[in-house]
Amino acid sequence: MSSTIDGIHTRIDRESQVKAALDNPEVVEALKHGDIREVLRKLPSGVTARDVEDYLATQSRIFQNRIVQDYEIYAGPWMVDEPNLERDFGHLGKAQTVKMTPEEQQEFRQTADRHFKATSSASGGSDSDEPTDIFSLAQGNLDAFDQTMSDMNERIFETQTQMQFQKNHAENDKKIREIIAMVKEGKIEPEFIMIAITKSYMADNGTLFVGWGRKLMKLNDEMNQISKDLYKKDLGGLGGARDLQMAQSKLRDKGVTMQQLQFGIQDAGQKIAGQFEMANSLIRTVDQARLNIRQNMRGT
Amino acid sequence: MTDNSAPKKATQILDPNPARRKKLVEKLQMYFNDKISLSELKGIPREKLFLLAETGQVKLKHGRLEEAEEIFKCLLLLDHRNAYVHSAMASVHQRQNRPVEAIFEYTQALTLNQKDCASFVNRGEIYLRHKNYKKAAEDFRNAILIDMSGRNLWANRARSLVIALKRSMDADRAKPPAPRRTVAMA
Repeated sequence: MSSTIDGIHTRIDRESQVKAALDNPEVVEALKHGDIREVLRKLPSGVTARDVEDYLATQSRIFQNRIVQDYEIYAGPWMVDEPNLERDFGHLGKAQTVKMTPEEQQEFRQTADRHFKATSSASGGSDSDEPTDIFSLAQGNLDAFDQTMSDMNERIFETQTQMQFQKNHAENDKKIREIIAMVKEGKIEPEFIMIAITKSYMADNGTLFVGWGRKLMKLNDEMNQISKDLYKKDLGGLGGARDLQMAQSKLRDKGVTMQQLQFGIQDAGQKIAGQFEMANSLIRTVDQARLNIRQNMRGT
Repeated sequence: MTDNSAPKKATQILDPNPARRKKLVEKLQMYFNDKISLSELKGIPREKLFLLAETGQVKLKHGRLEEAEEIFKCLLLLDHRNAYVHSAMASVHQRQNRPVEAIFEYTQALTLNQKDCASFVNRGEIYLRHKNYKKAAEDFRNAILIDMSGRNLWANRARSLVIALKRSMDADRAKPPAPRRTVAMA
């Protein structure tokens, strides 16, 4: 019985036959232009459009399988597969025997309570068994540490300022001596001594000015940190009032130091301005005296 | 007449629940020795953890990285011995441009599961992007060796990234060497 029902073809059986027909250069040329009627006219009888379609589909599959993917694929928008219960969580099913029973959990909680809460007798020597708040102890230690760090920083600042002051002072002193020597030799005018002294005085006070400025900045940072810490704490909860009081006390203390530093800076600024004025008026006086001498000499 | 020379029998002190304590200590010891996870100790069902991981993966897939990170952080706390969770956490880090953290997590995942192809490929890609070609090549090689049949998508991605690696190396070689700075002598 022949299987020549229209539209149904045994693709595999006929493939070699179609392939031979399609290898014809004329057919290939016609295929390039895309006119299927033209292709069919050039094909031997019995080959239908469906045969050609099947053949091309097969060829397409073959080519696709042969394609070597020569471009890089970087990570996509997601980079993990979906989880799998057995594959990824299988290890949990095996070890259910290690689960703590409610009694064991209670035992653990009780033991932990005993160990994590220090008794007041350890620190205060009292006989009562009332537990001390570990958190407060830790906070106290942290505060002490912060205080030590702050003191250390302050000392470092002071030492740096002092060293800088001494160095600048020695340099300026040396320069003044040189200037005095030059004035004595008559190489330069005596006003230069005043200028040099004023400059030295300004440099000394400037060093102090910078040191205090740095201290002021540090204090400001510390005060900001206290405010931030306070903001994070739950002031409505247990110990909130105490935290607030402590923070206020610290802020008040730092505020007083800040005020003293500000006075110091103001004082140094006034001294610099005063010295400058004095030097200016002295130079003018010297000039005036010199002018008077010249005029008197001319008059005689 | 009583015999005083006979030894007195010592009072026996009995622990109210020694067996339970011993068992509890053993369990805690296992936890501290990294042999079991918190979820095992607390008896959290794996189905719950799986659902959580699935949620995290969906969030990661749709770019809700911060939420995914929170979920995987929680899962890491509960089940720190799970390679999948480490790998997912590493992906979150990778997508948030934190390569160091990502490499650390991928390495953790690979320590727990040496057949985790995705972790090899993703870690290799980070190395590749940072021009650490040797380590990248090692990771791609390991990923390809896990699946020689070509069915695993991750292994196939490793194959294509090997081409990228070669191209990057060629491009680096083709670059002219940077001109040396010469110090102008006065």
